[in-house]
Amino acid sequence: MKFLWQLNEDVKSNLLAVILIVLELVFAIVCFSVCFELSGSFVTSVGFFAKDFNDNSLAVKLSEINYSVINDITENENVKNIYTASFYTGSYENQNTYIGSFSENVFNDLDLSYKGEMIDTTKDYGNAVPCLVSNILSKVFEIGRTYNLDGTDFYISGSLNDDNIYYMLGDLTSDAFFMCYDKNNILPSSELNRSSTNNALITAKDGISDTILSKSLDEISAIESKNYFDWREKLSDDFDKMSGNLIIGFLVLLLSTVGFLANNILSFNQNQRSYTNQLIVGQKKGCITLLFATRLVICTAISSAVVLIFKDKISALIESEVMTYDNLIYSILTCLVLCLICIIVIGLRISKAEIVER
Amino acid sequence: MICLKNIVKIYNRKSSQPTRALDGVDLVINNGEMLAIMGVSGSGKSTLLNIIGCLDKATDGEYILDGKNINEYKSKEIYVLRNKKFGFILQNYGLVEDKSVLTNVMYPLAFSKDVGYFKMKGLAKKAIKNAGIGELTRKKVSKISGGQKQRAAIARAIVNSPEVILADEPTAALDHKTADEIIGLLKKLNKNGTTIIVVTHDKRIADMCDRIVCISDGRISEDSK
Repeated sequence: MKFLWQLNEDVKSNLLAVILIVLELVFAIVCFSVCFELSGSFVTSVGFFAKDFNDNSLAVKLSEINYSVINDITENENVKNIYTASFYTGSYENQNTYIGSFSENVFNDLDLSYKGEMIDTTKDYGNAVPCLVSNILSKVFEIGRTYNLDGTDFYISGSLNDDNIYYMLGDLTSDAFFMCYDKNNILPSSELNRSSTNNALITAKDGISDTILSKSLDEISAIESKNYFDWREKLSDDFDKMSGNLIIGFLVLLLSTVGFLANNILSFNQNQRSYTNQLIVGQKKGCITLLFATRLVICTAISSAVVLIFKDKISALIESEVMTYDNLIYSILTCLVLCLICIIVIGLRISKAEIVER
Repeated sequence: MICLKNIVKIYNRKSSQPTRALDGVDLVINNGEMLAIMGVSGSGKSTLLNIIGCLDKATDGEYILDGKNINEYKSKEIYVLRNKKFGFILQNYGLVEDKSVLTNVMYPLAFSKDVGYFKMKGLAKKAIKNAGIGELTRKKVSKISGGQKQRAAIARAIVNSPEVILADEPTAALDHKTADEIIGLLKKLNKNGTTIIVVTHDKRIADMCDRIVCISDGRISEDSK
C-alpha cells in the first residue's frame, strides 16, 4: 500500500511527463511496427526467393501475400522445364502448346461426359500412352485405335465433350486437345515441347496429390491472368519500396527514441531535488529506481493498450495496412527494451548520486 | 550518544586544490543536549552536521554512534538511521515543493517499516498540528511562507519521533519573531528528551541553546556551556 501511495505521488508529480512519455511510446510503437513490417516483408521475400528460386524461375502471384515458384508446379521434370522456358523466354500467347497437370483422380472422381472409354488407371496400355481427345480431334484420331505421333504411340481411349474441355482449360479452349495418362513416363520432352501443332496437352501424372493439383490450378489460373513476374524485379521493387519508406521510418523512429530517452532523463533531472529530499529522510535509492521503473512500465502498458485498442483507427490515420498484431507485439517488446535502457541509465545515476554535493 | 574522534573531511581530494572542510574534530554530544554549532560561512559547521546525520561520510577519523562505529553500519541501517534516528531541518527546508504539507510529512512514515499505511495520515496530521500549522495540512508547500515551510520541515523532522534533530540554519531565512518561534518549538522538543543540534551563525540563536561549539577553519575553537 505504501508503495502504491508513493507511486501515486510520483505519477501526480510527473503527470505532464507521464502524458508525454505515453504519447511518445504510442508514436514509437507505431513507428516500430511500420519499420518491422517493411523490413520484414523484404527479408521474407529474400528468404523465399533465395530458397526456392533459380535464375530461370518465374514467380506466380497467387494472392497479395502468397507467391509460388513456377518450377515447382509438378514433379515432372519435362513439364517443369517447358513451363519455365515458355514463360520465361516469351509470352504465353505465342506458344502453341498448353501443358497442364492433373491428378489421376480426374479419371476416377470427375463426372466427365465422354464417348468411347474412360481411361482406366489400373489397366496396362503397353508402350502406348492412353489419351482422351476433343470431339473434333476424334474425327481425325479414331477412338479405340493407336496412332504414332513423332515416335510416340497414343492410344485414343475416348473423346471428351467440349464442356469438359472448357472446364479444364477455361478460356484456352482448343480443338486440338490431348488428355494423356502418362503413367510410365513415356512422353519425351520433345513431344510435349512441340509447337508445330496448335494443341492443348493435358498430362495426368501418377502420384500428383490433390494439394498439388489445387496449387497447380491456382498457378494456371494466375498464368492465364498474366499474374506472373520476374522475381528479381519483384525483389528489386520490394527493396526500393522498403528503402524509401524505411529511411523515413527509421528517422522518425530515431527521433522518437531520442525524444523518449531525453524526456526520461529530463524528467529525472527535474525530480533530482525531490529525490534528494526524500533520501535525506530515509528513502532508499533502490526504491526510487523501482518507482521510476514501475512508472515507465505503466506508461508502456497504457501506450500498448491505446495502440491495440485503436489499431484500426491508427492504421487508417497513417494510411497504412501494415500494423499487424505480430508486429505490434514486437514493437511493444522493443519499447520495453528502451524502457530497460532508461531504467539502467537512471538507476546508475541514482546509485551514484550523493545527498551532499560539493 | 554521538562521539566524533579526529574527524577529517576533505572535498575534491583528487583535484589539485582539495578543500579541507573539517580538520580533526573531536566532539561528544550526549543524549538530550541542545547544542549550537557556530561559525562563519565555510567554517565546516554544515559539513559536521551532515556527517553526524549520515548524509555524508568523513574522510578520516571515527564516528561512534550509540557505541558503534558508523562504518560498521550496513547501508540499509544507514537508511533507517536517517529515517528514524535523525530528523532533519534544513536551511532551504528540503521539502518537495509541488506536494502538500501533509504529503511531505508523510514521506518519512512511508519509508519506515514500523508504521502501517493507515496510521500514516493520522501521525502526520498530529506532527503538523504540533508544529503549529494544522490549518495548512492540505496546502502545497510552494504556496506557504518561509516560516510556515520551516514549521512543515519541523513537522516532517519530528513525525517519526527521532532521538536527534539536526537543524542546519533553521532560522536563516526568517524574521526574528518567526525565528524565535522556531527555536521555541525546538526547545520544547528538547525538553521532551530529544537531542537538538542547531547549526547557526547567529549568536542570538546560539545563546538560546545549552551548549555552544564554535568551529573555525574546520577545527573546534571553542566549546562552552
